Amino acid sequence: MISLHLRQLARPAGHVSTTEIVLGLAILFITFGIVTAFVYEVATDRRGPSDAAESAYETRPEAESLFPDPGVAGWRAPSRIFHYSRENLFVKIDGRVPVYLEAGVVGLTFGTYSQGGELRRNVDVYWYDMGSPANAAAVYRGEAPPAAKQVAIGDEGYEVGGAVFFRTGVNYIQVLPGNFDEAEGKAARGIAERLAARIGRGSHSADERESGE
Amino acid sequence: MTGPLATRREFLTRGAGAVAAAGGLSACAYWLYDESGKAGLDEGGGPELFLGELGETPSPCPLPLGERGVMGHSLRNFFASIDLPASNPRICIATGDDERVEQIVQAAIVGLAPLLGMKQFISSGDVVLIKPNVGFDRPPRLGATTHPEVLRAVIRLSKEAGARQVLVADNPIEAPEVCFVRSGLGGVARAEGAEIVFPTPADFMTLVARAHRPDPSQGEALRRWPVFGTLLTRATKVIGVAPVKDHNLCGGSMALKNWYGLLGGRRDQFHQAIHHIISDLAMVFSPTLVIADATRVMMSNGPTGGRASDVKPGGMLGRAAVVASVDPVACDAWCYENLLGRDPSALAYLELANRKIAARIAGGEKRFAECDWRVYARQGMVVEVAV
Repeated sequence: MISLHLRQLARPAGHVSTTEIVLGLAILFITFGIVTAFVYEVATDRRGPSDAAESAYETRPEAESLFPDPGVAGWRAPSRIFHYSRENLFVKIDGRVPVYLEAGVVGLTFGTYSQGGELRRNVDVYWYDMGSPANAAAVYRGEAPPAAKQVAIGDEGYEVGGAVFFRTGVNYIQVLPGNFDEAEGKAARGIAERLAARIGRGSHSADERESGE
Repeated sequence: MTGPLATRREFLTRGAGAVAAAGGLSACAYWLYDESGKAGLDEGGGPELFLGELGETPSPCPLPLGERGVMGHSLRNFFASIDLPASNPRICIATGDDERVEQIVQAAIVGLAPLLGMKQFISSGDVVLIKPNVGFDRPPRLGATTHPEVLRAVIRLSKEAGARQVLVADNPIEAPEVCFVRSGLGGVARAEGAEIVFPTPADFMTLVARAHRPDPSQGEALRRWPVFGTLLTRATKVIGVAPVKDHNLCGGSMALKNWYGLLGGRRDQFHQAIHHIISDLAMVFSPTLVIADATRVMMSNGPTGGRASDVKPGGMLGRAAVVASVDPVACDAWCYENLLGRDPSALAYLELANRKIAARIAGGEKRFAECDWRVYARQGMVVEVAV
């Protein structure tokens, strides 16, 4: 019965048009090509961890708009922005990845504010898109120290040792000074406030902003 | 459906063709399938680094030919030449003010070898590989990486003991140059005249950890895997210098987990079998000495941390500490209990490492492994020194 049913779906060769044959062959060819390319890419992947890190790097003209001007004299916004997906997030946070994956992370956007271009004085921004406000709150609260000093940034925030952590909408953002001195702490606070304000005015996530949605 | 039916012959011919095409694709996929999950890193294209099988004493490197007929080296036991008196301590914990890190490191090493200090481990002309944890582009204060002053002390002591050359290397997943700068470790290494070896593709060799397919039920993970191998063929002594950290996957990152940083390839795949891989690395690498840096201990949110509040000087001890040991397993057990305040009997990789190393010791290798540090304590082999 099954065989007969299948036969009803098939037509004799003479009843298949040239267009159908060409289209069918094209689909088969493309499918085979995609499968072959994928398998080949995996089979010849010689990248080491550092190469994987470099693959996350992208320079985008939107950098300036994604990360606002810090509003602190002598400091400038990141000129290089790194984007990490669920698949390559390990490159940035390695063994910490499972915590974020389980919480539903969508991606991480990373950039470094610097003072006068000096690498030695800087503030890193880890901007996680957690997919939903509930996910963001779960990770934020899971990592927050019990007696942290609360700050009025985003939906919820705290400051510890000059670093600022806050969540707003789907975003969980960590603003980390490089050397934890007073100047960096002040810059971190300013950056966090401006980031929160910008996110509040605009779309909810870094990815949405990137794609212009 | 309307229209004429295909003939039985046409139907069968087409069906057979479709099955053949699907079979062909499946065969191709099977042929290319990477059963070890190492993202296809070429197994036979480069030099190999062999861990000797049990009962077989690894030869001094290099060996002329490896298992697959290519140039190969035998992985050294970097502890084999150390003539440590039987009564010497296996673990020494030195504590002190965090402004005196160099003295603390020195005290920890002297505590292990009271007569000779670092000269017990490093001889004139040695090429010393120091493996700090440079895994993240984070500042020293966060405790995600080895404290630069601990590295400085180990470099100085190695040179004072007669080291001809000191190599400092790690293979961070992030850009190595940036990690060395941000962690402060690059600056210290350069200032002290050590050579920083950044990983390049040519530096990776295929480590042959075992001849058979790893058996997960036995806690095995490694068979053939790329490692930062040229370092291990250059060095005559190896010192691991690892920060003590909380680690959300394996509980704690200390001396044994530090070797993970020498792996190449898509090593994140091992996250699913973290205890297996750490214990395999414990089996593979037999360092001259390990130093656990507890000048500041990441007590929570490891291994990355990010908050000053995640870090505590000396962990549970409450003041900066450095632990030197000739038994990396016991060292980790001591640190896990006394610095992180957790139960080492619950740390699966310790027991696995103990078992694997014990098998190698039974096969003739010279090294120590004891997952219950109290065994040493009862013999007076755990000493504490205040600086």
